[in-house]
Amino acid sequence: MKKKIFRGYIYSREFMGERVPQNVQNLFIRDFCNKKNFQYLLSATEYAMESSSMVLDQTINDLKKIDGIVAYSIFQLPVKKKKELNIFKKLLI
Amino acid sequence: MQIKINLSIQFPKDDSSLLATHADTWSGDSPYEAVVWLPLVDCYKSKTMYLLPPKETKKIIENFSKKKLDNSEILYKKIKKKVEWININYGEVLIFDQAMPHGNRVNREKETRWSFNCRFKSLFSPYGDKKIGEFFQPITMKPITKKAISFKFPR
Repeated sequence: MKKKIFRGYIYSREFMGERVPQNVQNLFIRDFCNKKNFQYLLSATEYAMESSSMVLDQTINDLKKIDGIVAYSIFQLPVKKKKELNIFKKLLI
Repeated sequence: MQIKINLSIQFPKDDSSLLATHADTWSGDSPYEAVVWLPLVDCYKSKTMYLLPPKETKKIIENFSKKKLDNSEILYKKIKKKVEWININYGEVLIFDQAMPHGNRVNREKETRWSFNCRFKSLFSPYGDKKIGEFFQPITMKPITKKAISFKFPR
């Protein structure tokens, strides 16, 4: 059976008041994909600029080629309500 | 020096492992670092990477948040005509400032690109998201630093 392909998504800034090293985020995502038998693709790293979600938006635009995105934390999603809602619509609906 | 050197492999026509336009400093790296990029093959055209020259970098980072750049592809389109594709051969090395935006596109050539990249910095320069011990290790300490580490205050 063909493995599902997932792109990692990591942060380079704090979220929810905590900082997780990028290599640790990648380790966690890679391990998750292994356990789920997903093929893991090199993580996209969000820009560190405040409130930026440019990399996430691009990753979502590229979803036609892959099966989904694995982020380290749900708290890495944009905090602006409208933006968050748009992303949930794109991802879930 | 970076603890683990990165190996980058770019197969022809592979669009799964591209690096969108970015400056490493936009992803948490400190500007007090330089990147050493070592190709293991001759790199040219779409088999190589692109860099945005410093003058153009200055223009793009001014009022960055007001430029309505919804995603990194739009950013690339904005700088597409200004970037320089680096012609570099096996045996040569590229050292660049990681505050310069760079990236790659789908390798349309017939050969795979193999390259190493590694970051170097001064031991006591400011660190970004990548810290000493977890990402960097000291390799060359100056004599005065070695002396200072063993310093003991008189009791």
